[in-house]
Amino acid sequence: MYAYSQLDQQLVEQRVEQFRDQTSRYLAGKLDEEVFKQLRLRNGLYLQRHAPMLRVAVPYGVLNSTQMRALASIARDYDKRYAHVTTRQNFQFNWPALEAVPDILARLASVQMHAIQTSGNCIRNVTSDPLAGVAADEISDPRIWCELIRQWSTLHPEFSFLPRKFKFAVTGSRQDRVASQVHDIGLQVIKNTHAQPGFRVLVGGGMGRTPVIGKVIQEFLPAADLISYLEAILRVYNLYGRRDNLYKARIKILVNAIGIDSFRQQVDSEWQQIRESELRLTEEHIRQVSDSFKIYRYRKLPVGDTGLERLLHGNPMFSSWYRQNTREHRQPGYRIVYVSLKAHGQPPGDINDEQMDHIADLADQFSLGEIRTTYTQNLVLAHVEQSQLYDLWRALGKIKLAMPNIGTVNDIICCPGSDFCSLANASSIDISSDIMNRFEALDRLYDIGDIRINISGCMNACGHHHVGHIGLLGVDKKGEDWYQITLGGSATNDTALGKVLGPAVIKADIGRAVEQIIEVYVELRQPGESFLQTLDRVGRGPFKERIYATVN
Amino acid sequence: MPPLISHNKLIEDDWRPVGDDQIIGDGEKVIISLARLRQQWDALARMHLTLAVELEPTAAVDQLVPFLDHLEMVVLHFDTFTDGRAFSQARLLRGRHLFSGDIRAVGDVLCDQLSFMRRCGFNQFQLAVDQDIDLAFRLFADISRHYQRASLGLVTE
Ligand code: SF4
Repeated sequence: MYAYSQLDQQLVEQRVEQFRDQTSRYLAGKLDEEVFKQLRLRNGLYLQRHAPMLRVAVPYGVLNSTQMRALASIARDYDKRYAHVTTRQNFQFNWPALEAVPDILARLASVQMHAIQTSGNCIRNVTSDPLAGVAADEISDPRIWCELIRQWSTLHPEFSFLPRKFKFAVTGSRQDRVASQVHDIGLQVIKNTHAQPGFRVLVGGGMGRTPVIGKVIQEFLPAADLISYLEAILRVYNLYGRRDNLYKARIKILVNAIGIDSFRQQVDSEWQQIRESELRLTEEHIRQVSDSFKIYRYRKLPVGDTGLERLLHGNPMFSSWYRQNTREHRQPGYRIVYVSLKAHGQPPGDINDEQMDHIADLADQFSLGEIRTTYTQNLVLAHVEQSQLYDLWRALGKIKLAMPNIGTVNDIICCPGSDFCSLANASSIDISSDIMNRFEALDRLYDIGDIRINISGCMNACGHHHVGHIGLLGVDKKGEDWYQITLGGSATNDTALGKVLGPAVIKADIGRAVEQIIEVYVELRQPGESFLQTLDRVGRGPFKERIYATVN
Repeated sequence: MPPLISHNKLIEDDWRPVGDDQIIGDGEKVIISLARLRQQWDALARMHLTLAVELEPTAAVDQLVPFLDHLEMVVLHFDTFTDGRAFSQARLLRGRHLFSGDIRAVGDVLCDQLSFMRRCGFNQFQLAVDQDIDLAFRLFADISRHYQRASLGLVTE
């Protein structure tokens, strides 16, 4: 994991004091409400339905155990003893007092953390593959590039007041686990025919009320040109992105308005002027950043493990968890472990202070002291020795974090909805728990297989409903909660936007409707066919018939 | 008049902004629009003026480039403090076109943005009327460490 330099540390500390000063001026009535709003947003602080919400950056989703304990202590000392993991891999606190936020930030700074640019119309915290550096299918470790982007974009004086928010996702694997095609900029690390690293660059993807899949602006951008090219894109966007209409201000609107080819030309002509400047990454600079990442000290282990085989054989529960929640590691003898934050009766992505402390301990004991957060609102312990999986599983079970449901219908992505968010049209958390209750039986869950359900409480699409296999969007009809259903979305390599199935369904019926969709799939699928494949083959008709015959 | 800070001092403004239809006298020190500069350049060039141009946030800096050698100052406008276009304009003027005259920020110019403005190349700041001057001086360098490099036309403290 990346270790702060003196520069990183000083900058973060100064940012805390800057925010302390801004907050105290605001509380003393010396800073205008609207101005303070913009300033606090750029430091992750929202004013929500009940209380402020503080979003803490977890750069590219990597934390160490000390940081996790600090987050636990913040949950305990300043919040209601829990925190929430977001689709952008960040941690969110829902109940801090405004006055306390500078102290919270100071505590974060003491463990090399911050809340810089986790909201506001600026370059947001970069997200990446939770399996970076360990995935068996990785082409090149994306974290170095993420860190370079983090440094370049942090408090960038030119790009701190953009037309709208700006989100990056970086993946270095064959399998896209970061939704790179639905970000303002998606970077896919690839290698050219000479085995040199570079990027396939996508631009203008995004969700919200106008969902768009990103378009390729560069098939191969040499690694050395990364920052100059990003700067060129951002400059074009800052100067020419729309500022007259909040809903038309994202870069996707600009790209669509002028077309990707002419957007590419504009970026190119800007880029040619700065390509050979100091923005060009030297090998030394790249090495310097890459050296700031601690090397994982793996032990030499045998590939197979007869002990593990025996345990898997003798314990169906352990074996289900192993199958659902662990993945192949590139280091022989190790496994990657997903820790599901999708427990029954819990909002998806929530974790309490005791669980956080325990996870920190387990990370120290079993996974080189490191924890990762995922786009799907779960955690990952990325370096677990095979022979210790059973002990880890038992320990996770004791803190209710061994739900063997990764990738299943119950692994729901869900925004906070009307329980917390003042923009919501409808609730989302209780819908997710309704759905989870319907699929409590594990046999049934496994029989159904992997299905991604995503829920957003409004058009802003924080729950990424457009790219769920099944997407639910909260709509408000005369003060009642209704839900629009979309089918066929995906956020991985085959990224697609779901299509609306039919009229919105009222809250009382929506859980049943989701269940029916899944029943139709199970009835109609051919052996080995995924939900999306079946949908593709049979079309939306059968799903529609079943749902609208009984509800409304 | 809103307070004007130049090179870290409070100064009196001796520039006269003139509208496109106002008359300019020989040898005056005036701020004019880009449109007027372009339309009347031949005449203006003969008047021994000290010239500044105010550029709208929508205007391309490139249009100003042929005239930069003749300008003492470029004025960039913040319609609202959330409109960040002038940051890019300033950087292009300083970093790319190596403009060495003054770059003045006018409009919704807030103390809390001065350090960003300065780093992008502004060196004159006409604060919005409700801004506190002492605070402004204090906030010029509230963050002294930066990732972005000075040699790219960015000012570092
Ligand atoms: S999708 Fe809407 S309701 Fe949900 S968190 Fe985002 S803004 Fe709030």
